[in-house]
Amino acid sequence: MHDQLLQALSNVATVRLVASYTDNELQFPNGNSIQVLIPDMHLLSAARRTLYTYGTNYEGAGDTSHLLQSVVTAIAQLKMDAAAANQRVVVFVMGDYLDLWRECLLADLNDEVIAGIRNSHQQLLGLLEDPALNTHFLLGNHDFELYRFPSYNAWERRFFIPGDDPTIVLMHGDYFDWVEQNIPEDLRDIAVYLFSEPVEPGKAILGKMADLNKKYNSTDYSTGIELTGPAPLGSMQNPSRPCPPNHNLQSLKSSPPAATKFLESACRECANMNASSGSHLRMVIIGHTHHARIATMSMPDGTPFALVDTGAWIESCAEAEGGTAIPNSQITAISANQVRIYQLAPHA
Amino acid sequence: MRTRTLWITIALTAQLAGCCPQQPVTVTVLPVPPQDSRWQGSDQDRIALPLVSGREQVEDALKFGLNRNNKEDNVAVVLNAKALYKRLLDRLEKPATFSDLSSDVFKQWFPGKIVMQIVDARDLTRPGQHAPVALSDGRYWWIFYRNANDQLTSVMVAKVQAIDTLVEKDK
Repeated sequence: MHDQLLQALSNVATVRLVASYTDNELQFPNGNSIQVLIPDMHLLSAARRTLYTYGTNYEGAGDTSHLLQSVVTAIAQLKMDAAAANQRVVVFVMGDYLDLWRECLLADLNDEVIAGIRNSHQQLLGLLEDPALNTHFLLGNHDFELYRFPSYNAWERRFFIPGDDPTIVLMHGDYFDWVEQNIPEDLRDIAVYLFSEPVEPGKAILGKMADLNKKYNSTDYSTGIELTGPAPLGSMQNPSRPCPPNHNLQSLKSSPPAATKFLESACRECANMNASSGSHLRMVIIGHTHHARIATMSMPDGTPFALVDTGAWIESCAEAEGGTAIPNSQITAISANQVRIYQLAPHA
Repeated sequence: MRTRTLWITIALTAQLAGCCPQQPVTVTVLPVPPQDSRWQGSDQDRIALPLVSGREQVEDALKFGLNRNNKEDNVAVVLNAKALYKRLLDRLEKPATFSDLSSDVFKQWFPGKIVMQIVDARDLTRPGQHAPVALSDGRYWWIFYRNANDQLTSVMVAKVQAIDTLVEKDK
């Protein structure tokens, strides 16, 4: 179904391939289904948006393309068409969907703050939260506090796909910030909640996670969230050329550190989970860093491992370090055991 | 007499107006969440206990985070739920009563206190003497229904993220 998604996206946007990766053991051999992942949007209320020099790309005030909305509409249409042909489109939002951290001081968080964001993006949210789309929402660090509100009860911190014998963990990715900041004592409970057995990981641990979020991840957002400059994506490919099985893969040996950020931590976590639970995980998919990329390495037993960073719809990227900045606007897709990341732009 | 009545009136008025410190009342209530957080569609399809034919259904529910939308897309929330909950489900295959919920075997799974007030908007009337009770395994709430002899007759697992467990409050 990659071709069908590419066609649907091409109808509303100029599409370029950021990276592709093929692993025949991913357990998604069926070309009749596709997983579509939409990364960090960081939506704010219209009032709050005016306080920042940057915002959600192709969605904010003054943007006439409404690309993000068009893309979601195209995905929703594809899902409907696919269902009629007995095919399946599964949609995920990777977290940091509503940006509560930039919207208010968290102590002031209440229903009205959330409503303020929602009211400013009614059409987009209506599309993404339409029951017919059946979007699976992950909580990120900037919207983690939604767990306190019963309306968001069904949103999760991680998903495992395919459900029968998972090979892929989907999570926002902020967890790896904590792992790499070496705070093991606090992390113990969080690791239990995110990765292991369900041992009392209720609201107290969720609250502890929220505290850690604030302690380790909050910063000055006046000029940006995760990036200090455009994320260097590498050479992108025009979609008129056939998609190679593997394109623009990052590795520890040959790529700059930013391109392999969290790779080793993610690989280690999967290896540990496999050892403790007998699972066969071999890929972690995240958002969070706003740097779209696929990085690979081998697990201790020689199994290929990949970290897929789905990018963002906020902040910017460039093909090369120091190159022309373009707004981050990425979509990731998995079908027929192949992962692809696309960079989108409004038609000229 | 009139003076005394006046003082009582002032005191009551002040209390109602929030001028006096009031004793907080802890009400431990579990609201039954919408269907995307409880698997069962109606009270008719609760899973019968002892767990005989419904075990696979419970395992599915736990794996998919009690959300049928996740099952529809084969998106799991708990890795290896079948193995994780094996011992609890093994126990639920045997007959159990309300008092068994306080036994060591169940305490391993449900270390907190039993929540006695289950608010289910689908109920036609207030539950009677042998009302359902709920216990938390940390991730999910297990609501047990019982008969007049206090035998556990069915179970519904629910996810209510915004509710504290008493054990966790002590941490």
